[in-house]
Amino acid sequence: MNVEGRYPPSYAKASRPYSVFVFNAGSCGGCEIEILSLFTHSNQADQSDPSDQSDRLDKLRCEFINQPEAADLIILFGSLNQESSQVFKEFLPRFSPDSRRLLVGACAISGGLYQLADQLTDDDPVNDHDDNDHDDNNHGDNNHGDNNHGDPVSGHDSPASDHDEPSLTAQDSPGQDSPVTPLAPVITQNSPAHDYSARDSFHGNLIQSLRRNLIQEFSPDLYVAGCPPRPEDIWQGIQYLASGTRPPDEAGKMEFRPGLCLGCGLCQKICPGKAIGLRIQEMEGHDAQPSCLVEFNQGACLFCSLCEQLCPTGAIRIFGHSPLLRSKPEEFIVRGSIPLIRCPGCGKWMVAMPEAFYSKLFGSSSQLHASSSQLFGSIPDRIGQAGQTGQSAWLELCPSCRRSASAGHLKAAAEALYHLHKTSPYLHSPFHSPSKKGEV
Amino acid sequence: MPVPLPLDLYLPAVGNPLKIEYQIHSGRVSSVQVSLGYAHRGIEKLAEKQNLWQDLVLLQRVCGICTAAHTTCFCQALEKLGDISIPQPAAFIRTLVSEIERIQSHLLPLIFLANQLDLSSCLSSLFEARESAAMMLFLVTGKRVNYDFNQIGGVRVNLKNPQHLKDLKGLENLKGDGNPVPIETLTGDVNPYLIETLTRALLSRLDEFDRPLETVNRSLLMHPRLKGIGILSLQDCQSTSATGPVARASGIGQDIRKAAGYAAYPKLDFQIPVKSTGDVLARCEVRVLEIGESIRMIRQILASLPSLAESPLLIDPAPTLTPGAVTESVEAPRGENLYRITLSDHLHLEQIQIKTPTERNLEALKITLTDSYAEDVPLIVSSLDPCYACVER
Repeated sequence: MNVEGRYPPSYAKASRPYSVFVFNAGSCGGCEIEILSLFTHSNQADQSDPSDQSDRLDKLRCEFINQPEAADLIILFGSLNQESSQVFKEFLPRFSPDSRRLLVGACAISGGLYQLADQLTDDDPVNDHDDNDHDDNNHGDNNHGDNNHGDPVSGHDSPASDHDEPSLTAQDSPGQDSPVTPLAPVITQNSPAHDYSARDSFHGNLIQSLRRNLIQEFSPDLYVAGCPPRPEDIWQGIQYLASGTRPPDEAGKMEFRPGLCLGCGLCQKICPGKAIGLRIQEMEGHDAQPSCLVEFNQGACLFCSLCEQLCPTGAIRIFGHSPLLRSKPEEFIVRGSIPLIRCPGCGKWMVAMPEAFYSKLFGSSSQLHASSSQLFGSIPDRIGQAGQTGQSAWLELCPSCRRSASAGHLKAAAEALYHLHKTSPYLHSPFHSPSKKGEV
Repeated sequence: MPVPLPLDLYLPAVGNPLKIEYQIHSGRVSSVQVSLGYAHRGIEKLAEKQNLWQDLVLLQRVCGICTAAHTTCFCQALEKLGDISIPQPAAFIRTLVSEIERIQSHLLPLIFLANQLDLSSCLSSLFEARESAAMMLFLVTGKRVNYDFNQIGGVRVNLKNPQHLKDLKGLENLKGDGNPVPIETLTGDVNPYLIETLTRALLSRLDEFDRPLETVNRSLLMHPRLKGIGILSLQDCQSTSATGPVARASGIGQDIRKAAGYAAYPKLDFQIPVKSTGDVLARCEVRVLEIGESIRMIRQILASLPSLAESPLLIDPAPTLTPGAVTESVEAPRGENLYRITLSDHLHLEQIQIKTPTERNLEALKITLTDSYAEDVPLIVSSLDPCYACVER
C-alpha cells in the first residue's frame, strides 16, 4: 500500500521511496497492527507538536511493496512456527542481498512466549514422544526432569540457558570455564506436584534451533524488542537502517538492582517470556566466593511487568519509554550478579537478605533486632553451637536452617506446654479433648 | 473450467495471512476452502504447561487485536469458579478497556474496505481514529497493544500513580484553567487531579472520533458497491451459528453483554444495533453504530472515573481459587468468545478450550462467498472481519 499521497508534497521531490516488504510469520496481530499504524499515521512521542513530526518524516519516505525482490528493507515478525517458517524458507532466496533486514518483536527475536510451544506436526516423532512426556508431567511425575539432559539439538542442560542464544552463554559471562549449576529454587517446598522447572525438556529446543537457523540465514541488521514494539521504535529502526547508522547504546527498558535481590527465583518462575534466568556461578578455587547470576533477556521480554509487580523487594523496574534497538540479540541481555554469603548455621552458600528488605519488613534497621526477638523469641541451641549468639542471627540463616531452627523452637514450646499439662490437670489442654481424658 | 485462486497470503501488513482458496466458475465463486495453521502457536497446549501467572499473559497474546476480550474471559472464568467478586471499579476499568478495544477493532474492517475501495481521505481519517483509540488504550493501561491490564481478582491498572504518563507531553496542557502543571508533580498516593487530567485526556480523544465517523457515513457507507453483495440470510446465519456483528447484521440481536451482563455492563445504558439485510453494507453499518454505542458507554464510565479511582482495583489479599470446570463467555469485538477451563486440584490448568468468534464465522464466510462475483471477494472477506490470530491460536 502506497501512502505517498498523505505526506506533505516535499516528499514527492525525493528520488525514490524507501520500499519495504513486510513478512508476517504468524504473529498474534500485535506487531502487524503497529507496523500498519506506523506507515499510515504520524507516530510521534510528542503529540502536541505536529511541526516537529513533519521534519522527522521529511528524511524518509517509505512505501509498502508486494515484491520481496525489489525491497530495500525487509521487516520480519511473528512466531515462525512450522508452517510459516516453511513459507519463509521459500521466501529467503527471493530477498535481495542488498536489502537491509529488520526483526521486530519478542517472538521473532528469541521465540518469546512460544519458546516451548508445540509447533511440530504429527509426522515428527519427537512430537509424540514429548506429548506423552507432558501428560506424565501433568500427573505429578517429578522425575521428569531426568529427561532434560542431553537434548539432541542444542545440548543444553541448564534451565537458565534456555532463553539464551547458544553462542553467548559461555562467552559473555565473567568466568568463562566455570561450572554452572542451576540455583535450587527456594519455593519448591510448597509447589504442586508437577514441577515446572522441568519445562525446558519439551521439544521447544528443537523448534527453537530451527527458528534460530532461519533467523541466522536471514541475518537481521537490527532488532527491535517489545511485544509489540511501539510504532515510533520501529520507525526509528527503519531510519537507522535507511541512513546506515548504528543505534546508540541506550539504557534498556529494564533496570535490575542486585542490592535488593533475594534470589528467590519468583520472577523466573512467573516470567511468561522465559526471559529471566537465575543460576549460581561458582568461581575457581576452593574457597572462592560464588555469586548468583541473574540475567534478563530483554529480547524475550514481553514487558508485562509481572516481575516488577510480584518482586517482593522491588529489585526489578521496567520502563516503557525508551526504544529498544540493538544490532545483536545478545546485547539485549541485562546482567546482575549477587555475591553469596555462607549460612552461619550450615555453612552453605546463600543469598544474603538485603538490608532494604529488612527495613521493609521491620521498619528501620535500628528496630530490627528488637523486632526479630519479639517475633521469633530465642534462637535454638543449634545456632548457638555454630558460634552465633544473639537474636538477629535468626535472619542471617539460610531458609532451611531457619525452618529447622523454628521447628526446634516450636518443639521446645510444645514440650513445655505438654509438661505444663501433665503437672496441672485442670488446665485445658490442646493435646487431649476433655472426653478422652480418662483414657489417657 | 474452474480456476483455483489462493487469496494472497502475504499482503504486507494489511490483511490477514488467512489462506482462503476459492474456485472461480464463469466469474463467480464456486467453492471456498479455508486452510488454517499459518499462525498456529499452540497456545492452548502451552497454557496447560504453564502456571496461571504465565497463562494470564499468554492468553492475552491469542489475538493482538481483541486482547481484552480474551484476558477478561479467562479472569472471569476463574473468578466464577472461585466465586470471587471483583471490586466494582475494576469491573468498570475492564469494561472501559473492552469498549475502547471494540472501537479500534471495528475500525479495522472499515479501514480495509476503504483501502480496497480507494477512498483515501476516508482511509486516512479512519487511521487517525484508530490511533486515537490506541492512544486511549495507552493512557489507561500503559500499552497500545497487548495491554497486560487484567488479573484474577481485579485489574493491574495503576490509576493512582501511572508511571506511563510521566513522559507523556501534552497531557499537562489539558488542564481546564490553562495553567500547565508538569505531570511529574502530579504523582502521589491518590491524586484526584491526575485522574481528572486522565479523564480529560480520554474525553478529548473521544471527541476525535466524531469527524472520522462522519466521513465514514458520508463516503464509505454511501459507496454503491457495498449494497447487496455478500448476503448472509437469517436462515444461513442461524444454521452456521454466526456471531457478533455478522449475526447482528443478519437480524439476530444476540449480544453477551446484554445476555450475561458481565463486568459493569448491567450498570450502563447501551443498545444493540441490529440490521436485517445481511449484506456488506449492513455489517459496516452495524459496526459504525456499535462504535457510537461504545463511545456512549465510555462517556458514562469516564463520568464516574474520579470516584472509582479512590477505591482499590484489586482484591486484597489475593483470592483463593477453587478447582473445577467452568465455561465463560464474553462479547469480543467479533462476537462471542468462549472459554472452557478445567482447574486441577493443584490449581493448574488441566484443560483449556478457546472458542473464538472467527471460528464460528468461518462457515458464514464460506456461504457468503459462494456464488458471489470474484471482484467482490475482498470486500466480503473484509466485511466479515476474520481474525487469523484468534482462529489459529
